[in-house]
Amino acid sequence: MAVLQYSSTKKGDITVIQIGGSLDAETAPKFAEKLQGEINKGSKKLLCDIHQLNYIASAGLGVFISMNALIRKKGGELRLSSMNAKTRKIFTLLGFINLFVVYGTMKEALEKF
Amino acid sequence: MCNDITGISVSLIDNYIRIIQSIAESGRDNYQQYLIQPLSCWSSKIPGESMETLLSMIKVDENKLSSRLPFVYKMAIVKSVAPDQFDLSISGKISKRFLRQMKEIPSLLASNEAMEFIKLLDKPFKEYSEIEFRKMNMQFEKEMSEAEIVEVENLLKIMEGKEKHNAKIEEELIATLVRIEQAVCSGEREVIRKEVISAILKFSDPAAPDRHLRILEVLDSPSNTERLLKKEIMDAIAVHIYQNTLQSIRNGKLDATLKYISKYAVLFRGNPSTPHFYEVDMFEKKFFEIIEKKNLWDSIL
Repeated sequence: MAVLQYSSTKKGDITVIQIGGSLDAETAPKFAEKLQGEINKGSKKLLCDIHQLNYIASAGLGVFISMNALIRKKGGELRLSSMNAKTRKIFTLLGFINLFVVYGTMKEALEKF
Repeated sequence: MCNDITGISVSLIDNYIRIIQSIAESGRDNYQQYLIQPLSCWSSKIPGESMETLLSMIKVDENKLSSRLPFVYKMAIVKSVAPDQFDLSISGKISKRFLRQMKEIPSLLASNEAMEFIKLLDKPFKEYSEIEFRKMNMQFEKEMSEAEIVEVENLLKIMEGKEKHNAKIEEELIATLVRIEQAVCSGEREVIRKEVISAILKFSDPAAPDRHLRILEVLDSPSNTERLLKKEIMDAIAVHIYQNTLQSIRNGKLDATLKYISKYAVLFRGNPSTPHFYEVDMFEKKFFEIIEKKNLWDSIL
């Protein structure tokens, strides 16, 4: 049974989403709902901090793609921060590494986003 | 018969064709258990006509689009599994032809015989698919456990080296879009379907995840029929990708397996109502588990 931890806070005009655990076929639909909720509330800058993410499957990558497309239509963007080495390898192996702006740390992200 | 199939979609037909093919390749026992036996329950009345006569009748009735065609297919299939038939491969061949023709001939698709046939095979095919999935899962694990570090490194290089020829791809896409527009103008559903499916499979790419949307845009229309076609097409693509993932695992082609997983992510974007959503996820998990178990990440980093 996969588990995904999710929390959301506001840092100025940036909505910071921190996720941990596993983002796969079981957890991706709920995660998509949560992100969509943030976008519907008017967030234009979504920062997903994925430092604690242990595993991401293509279903989870798919959610990032679709939510980025959705927020872009509204003039915003979804960016990532604190990608750990394992997650980076999965992004690379599946060919998605250059698709998102990825900051090394959340601090850097909050300064530059 | 107790099952809840209410309509026959193109993706269901494609899946049945694939399963029959897979059953045929998996050996005589499976062929007997999952295809011949269920088909022999279709009717206790075995036609008096010879197999050759029935096959000729199918040809003639297909050309004439005769209303008798669904019944002739039923007769031929029932005959093909009769105890006096020696060449049991015929039943698989006719069944696949029956399915393929359902996609071409609307009256055949809408016939009672088509629905009976689909329902008859529903339970055995589900059973077979589950066994096949478990088997593929084990095989995938075995293939992966035999993979060497260098193979994984090569896979990384392949993925990183992609998307070098954007201009050429754009040129090809424009030519394809023109062809699809022509197909749409022709109004021939099957032609549109084939063109769009092959184009989407070709142009879906994680490095440019919205590229394939330009193909789908050609199909945009306010009419419900068009929207249905779009869903049909996407479902058929999901089935196709799943089939090819299985095939590439079977052949030990890890790079192809990854390619299909990426395409699946780009096209279906975490949508749980996509056919084979959980199966694809399971294969992926296994793939990364093995990399983890063998500490291949550390070697790559």
